Amino acid sequence: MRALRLSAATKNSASLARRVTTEPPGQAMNIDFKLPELGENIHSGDVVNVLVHEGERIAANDGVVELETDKAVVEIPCPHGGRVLKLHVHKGETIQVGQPILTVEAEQAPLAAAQPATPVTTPQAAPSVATAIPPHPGPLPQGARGTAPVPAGPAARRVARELGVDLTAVRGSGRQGRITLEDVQAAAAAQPQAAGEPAAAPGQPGQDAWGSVRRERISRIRRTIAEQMVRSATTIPHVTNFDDADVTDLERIRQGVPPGTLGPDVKLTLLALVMKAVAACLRRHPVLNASFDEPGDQIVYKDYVNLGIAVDTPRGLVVPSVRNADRLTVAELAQAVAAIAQRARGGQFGVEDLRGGTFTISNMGAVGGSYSTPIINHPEVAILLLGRARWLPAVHGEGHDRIEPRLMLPLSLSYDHRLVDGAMAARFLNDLIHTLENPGTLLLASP
Amino acid sequence: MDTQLVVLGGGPGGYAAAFLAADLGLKVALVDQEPRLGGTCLLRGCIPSKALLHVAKGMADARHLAEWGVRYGRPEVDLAAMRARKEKVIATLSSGLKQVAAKRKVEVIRAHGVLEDSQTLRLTPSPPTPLPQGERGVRDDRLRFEHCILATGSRPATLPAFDVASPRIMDSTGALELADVPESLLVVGGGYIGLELGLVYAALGSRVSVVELTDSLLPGVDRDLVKPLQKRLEKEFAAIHLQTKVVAVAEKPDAIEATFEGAAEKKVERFSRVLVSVGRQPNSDHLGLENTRAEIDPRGFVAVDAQRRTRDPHLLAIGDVAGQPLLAHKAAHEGKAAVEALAGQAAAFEPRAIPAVVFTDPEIAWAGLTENEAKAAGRQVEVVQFPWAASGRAQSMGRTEGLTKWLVDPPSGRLLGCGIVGSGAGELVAEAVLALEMGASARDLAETIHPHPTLSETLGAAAEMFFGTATDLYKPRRR
Repeated sequence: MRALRLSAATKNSASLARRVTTEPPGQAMNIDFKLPELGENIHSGDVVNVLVHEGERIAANDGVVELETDKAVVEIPCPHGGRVLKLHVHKGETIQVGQPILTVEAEQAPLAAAQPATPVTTPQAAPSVATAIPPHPGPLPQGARGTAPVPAGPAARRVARELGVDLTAVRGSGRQGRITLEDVQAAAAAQPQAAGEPAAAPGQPGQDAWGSVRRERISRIRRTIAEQMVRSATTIPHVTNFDDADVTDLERIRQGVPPGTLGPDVKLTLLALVMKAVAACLRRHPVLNASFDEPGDQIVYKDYVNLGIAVDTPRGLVVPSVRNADRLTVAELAQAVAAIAQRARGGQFGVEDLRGGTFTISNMGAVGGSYSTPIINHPEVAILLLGRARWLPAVHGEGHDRIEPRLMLPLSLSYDHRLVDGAMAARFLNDLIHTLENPGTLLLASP
Repeated sequence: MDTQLVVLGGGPGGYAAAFLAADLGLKVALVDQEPRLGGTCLLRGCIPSKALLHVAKGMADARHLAEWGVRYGRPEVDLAAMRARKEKVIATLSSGLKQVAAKRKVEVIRAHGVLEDSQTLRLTPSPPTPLPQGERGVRDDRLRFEHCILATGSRPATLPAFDVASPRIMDSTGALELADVPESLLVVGGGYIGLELGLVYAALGSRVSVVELTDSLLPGVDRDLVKPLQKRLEKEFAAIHLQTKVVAVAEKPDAIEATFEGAAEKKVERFSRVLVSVGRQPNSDHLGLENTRAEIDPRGFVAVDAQRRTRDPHLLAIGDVAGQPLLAHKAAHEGKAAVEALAGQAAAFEPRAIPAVVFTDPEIAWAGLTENEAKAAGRQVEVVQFPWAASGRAQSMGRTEGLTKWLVDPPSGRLLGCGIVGSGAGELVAEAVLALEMGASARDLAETIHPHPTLSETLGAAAEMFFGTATDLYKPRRR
């Protein structure tokens, strides 16, 4: 027999479903949202973009600014929802941790609103949540206070960690929206860049089958480099021509310029002279200064020459560009190179510095080495890699009867074979070599 | 490098970590200063206390049968036999651990270990007595390692007032040794350790008094769960002094004299023995952590991340030494997560619910969010409960004082926490932990068929109350 209905029980029934209602009164209050701690050794950042405007209504955890730090460009979410009363920052400004970003008129008390940044997923809302993965997957909501737990068990949560799947964005196929292992796997498959990528604990020392290993989360910069390289290597049919330019005379001229001529701390480098020659040659061979508008079936010829200079920085490879290099004097180019070197040490390049290049020069000379097969900086069509100039025996004389030591600069030119035929590239390279070997022609170059 | 992994401490966290690491193919050394594996849990904590509570419960149940018409005579207690039987439990389990360690080729080193730097453990014999046959002591005075998992546990905390050298003053370790059945026992601290051991001694015949500084027994535990236990304890114990402090103790020829100060008047009373159970403190001192980059928080816990890594890349920490709650099952899971993370797996110690059980009679168990925590966080929850008086099984056992409740997220119906008081609550809470880990909703529990007649039905019935009414409990519909 089933259990009895008891007077003792009914006596208690009034208190059976107590509601602990400690919700604060729904009055509006103003909250200053300050730049939170972003990580070790990050004290400030440059506002790349302000994503909201005054008067706008934002939800809790909406991104409000894009911030470029030494490490990455990150979107800063504001944990408070409400109306933006006042913006305290503007684009381009450098802001410090703790500095107010904006003031929100919140309808919720700060205690409830300041809960960890996980979107609330209620079963009512779940069916309308698309299976798409948001661009910035947040941390897994493990027992996050203030939100209903994501209906996924420990096994599904572990697989989500392994595959880098944000469970708050996964629609569960089970009862009551339960996220099964299969749901997590399907979400990972729909997110190709994350599939199979171990999301495990970066920076963590560990073991694989062959010995001890260390995992390190890649930086935003490194991720960008990786994506650029794959894009370029997989879409552009690369061909690389190798050659040498005899820069004995050019080097003699360079060394003839007394230090300090171009200004304090500005050295006349071989790179600046090569840039001058390349800019002049690009004017004469416009296809190497073009880009390929593939969807439009068009070649875009540029009337300007912006030379990208590939630089090794502590953050990784970046390619700031020197604008209108064809209209700069050798002195100005040398100053531009010095300025780039200076900023590279600080790792400080703005997004604008890195845009708009038409042709890239990569200088391997400082590190050493002669030839390589550089990958084109998409959407440019060619890249020139300079090796380290070295003395080689060269055959001279009418009857090829004289051997002279000459300073030879190794050149590797990769080009997009869809737009640039081999002969075009060879002509460009020959012209460049000719220019470098006859520095007098640089005197005739404009301006 | 002498070994890939050293686990310092052979308790439930340490051996779980060491065994899994060995299973994953690592070369592991397990360092413990005790002659036997098992740590506080097995040697002087969970297991021996449960053995004694088993005795106390049997005695209480036998007495309870009187109301069903069965009367036993006065029980005869053979303390030596009881101690020996408890010892046998420990010996069986500890030797089992030793065998399992040997089969897994985990090198067990009996020594006291101190970190000289981030990759070196200095070993000193502890204690410096001959080792039992076949046991390996200090092999080298230094052990080099790639990684070390600190699993050094905690020890009973003390209070300056009890800094009196007297055999009558004991901590939980002393109380479990069961030297005698004191005529009167003062339990200082109304936490779970004091109440569990107080019940053991009360069952054996001691007159037990409890003093607790705060206004309630089991501070921090939801009041509605404590209430039925408190009612029972009021019958079992001679006195429960709340909001009371022991300001002084003095050794007298055949007793300890304790001076109370509290809500009531100042009072002096004599006790045959005093049990100090005022909490536990982490064993993070004397480890040589100052020679490493690991950091300790103000309460003495080693700071760790989700993979239980300390600030020192070679050191991890698990269990009591790595923070609250100080529970064996938490330590074991941390140990496994730490080792899996070391092995490069996507492991993290991110439980949604860590069950806690007070093994009194009735038992109290909870998991996930508690009402106290919800209030403190200003979080709106709906609390639904099912009193055991409406459970057929509870009635048939004569144990109707129990209560099962769920904390539910009101808009979604997802379960956030569970609290149970009653006979066997510690076993019942396991279902709640699984439900919380799975992100189950009140509907899931309500529609899961529970066997009848069992106490587990109360979990389903309490969840039914979220929808307004349960089969065995009538409540006018409100939605």
